[in-house]
Amino acid sequence: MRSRLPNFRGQRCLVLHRRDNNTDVLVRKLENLGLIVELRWPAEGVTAEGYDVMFFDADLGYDAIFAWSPEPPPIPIIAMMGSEAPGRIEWMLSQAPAAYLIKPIGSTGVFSALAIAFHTFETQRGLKEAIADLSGRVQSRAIVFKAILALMERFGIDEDEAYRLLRRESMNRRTTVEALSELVATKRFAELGGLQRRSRTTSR
Amino acid sequence: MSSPGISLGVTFSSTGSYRTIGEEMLNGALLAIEEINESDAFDFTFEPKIENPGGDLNQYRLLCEDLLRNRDVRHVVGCYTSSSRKEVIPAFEKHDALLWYPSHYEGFESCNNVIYTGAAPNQHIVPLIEYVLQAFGDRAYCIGSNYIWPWENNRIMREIVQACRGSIVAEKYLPVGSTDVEHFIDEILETKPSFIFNTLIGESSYAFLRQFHAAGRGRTMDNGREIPVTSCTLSEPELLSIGGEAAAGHIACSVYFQSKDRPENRTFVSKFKARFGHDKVTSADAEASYIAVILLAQAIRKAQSTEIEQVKQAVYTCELEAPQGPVRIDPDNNHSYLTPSLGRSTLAGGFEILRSAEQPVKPDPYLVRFDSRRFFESFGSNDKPAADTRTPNLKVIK
Repeated sequence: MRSRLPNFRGQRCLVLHRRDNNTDVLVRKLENLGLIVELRWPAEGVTAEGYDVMFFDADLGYDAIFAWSPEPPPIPIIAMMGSEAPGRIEWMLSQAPAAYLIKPIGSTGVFSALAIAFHTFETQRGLKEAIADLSGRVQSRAIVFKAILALMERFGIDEDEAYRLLRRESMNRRTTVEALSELVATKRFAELGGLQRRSRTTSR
Repeated sequence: MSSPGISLGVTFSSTGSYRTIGEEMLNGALLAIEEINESDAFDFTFEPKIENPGGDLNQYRLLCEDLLRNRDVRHVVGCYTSSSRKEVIPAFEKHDALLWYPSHYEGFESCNNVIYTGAAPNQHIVPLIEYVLQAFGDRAYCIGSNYIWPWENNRIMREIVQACRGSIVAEKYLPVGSTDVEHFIDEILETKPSFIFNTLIGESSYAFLRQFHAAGRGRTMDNGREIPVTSCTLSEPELLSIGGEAAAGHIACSVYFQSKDRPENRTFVSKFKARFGHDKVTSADAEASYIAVILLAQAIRKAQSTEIEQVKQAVYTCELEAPQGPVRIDPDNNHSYLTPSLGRSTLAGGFEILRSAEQPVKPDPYLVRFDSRRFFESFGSNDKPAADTRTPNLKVIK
């Protein structure tokens, strides 16, 4: 399934670069693509508030430009690169840009840089969320195991049945297996209220 | 004026796989050059430097490099395919020259060294889709040649049709030049779409239209309705190539039809026939080439210079009463304000115009102002196939 045509109409964009020929071309192009553009230089402690995307000068940029540094940017940012000196590339990469544009900026490249930046940012955000979720699950594996042991002991059931019970109960209680395990493992059965071998709601 | 003779590069492929169109475009440009050279209103003449790349991408680049580097050329009118345009643009940027590109194309470009006189997507496919969804229904069968023009048009078609709760029955591609269309026709007769969106080019398209006609166009014993074939490319010279009844009854969206009833067009058509032969017909690509040369001449006259920055600033203030209607260049993106029309091909080898935009439409090469959801809402609840009873209104793009 292909996604919709990229459209940036109404997106608010901040360009962190001294005004020159490059920014003249860039701002005009962005405005033609429907973005609301603001140019700022010098820049320090910039926050993402009020903006959907940013361009920044990779040649004169330094850490203090962005308030969020060294944390990754909360919106897609796009590097404007002139110098290919390794030190500059290293600094640019440390800002975790979602796309880059090579100077001098011409007629071609701005639209695709925007499309790539929004796509990369979304993809990375999805991956980060998935990784955070998976890390949480890995950490709670021990607690799930303890919960299974507790249920086996209390109800005299085997491991498989204990796990099925956990899953069914977490579904009935609209919580996660991990969260329920936390209660079961610490044997706070009173708080659990009515945990039984047979679920009340599965009488099909 | 420093020089009475201004070199003008002309690069169309009058041989090779798309020579029919290349020749039309060349003729359109030549007609305009001769008109300028004979006119007292211009204190200069064009000296055309005509080169034929023969449809070969490398030749496009080499010939343009040579024109710009060695032959005193600042302006070139030429190119038909997007791939040829992309191939030569770096040469125009390097030599700070201007390409006058006279073809409709898929959009998503706006180069400072190009003036675009053909239609952008909001001037061809968007008005076509609006019409066909109202007139025929919302199940589309897409068939095209396997390259960027059909891919991008089908992408826009898919987005709009799906936003309007319709469906794409199939999206099929043939290698360029292939005439192996039979099993697609079987599939169309079986799936009975509301309409066919045809982005096949050249011989593939002609073969498809002939065989689809021979197969009865989807009429059955209990249903006399044929499945309409729609496109953004079908033009007058192609109707002659297809020939006979197979060429008639197809829907096309274009900014120019030979049948456009305007004094400027009647003059254009009669001059064209007088110059190139009475069996010749005019078309959108010929008109766009003609417009490109006339606008260039007007801009040079106004700027009293051939330097591209001055010519560009001047052309933004020119307005031409072209055969299709008033045409001007949009300084935002170097594309043209054009007037799209919907036409139905006739047995006589022309188009009957079904409706036209009320005024020239601002070009929107990146479809920035287009929103498929708003497009759907503009239909209201009237999304069922209906006869063409709604008031003609092509102004979806503000």
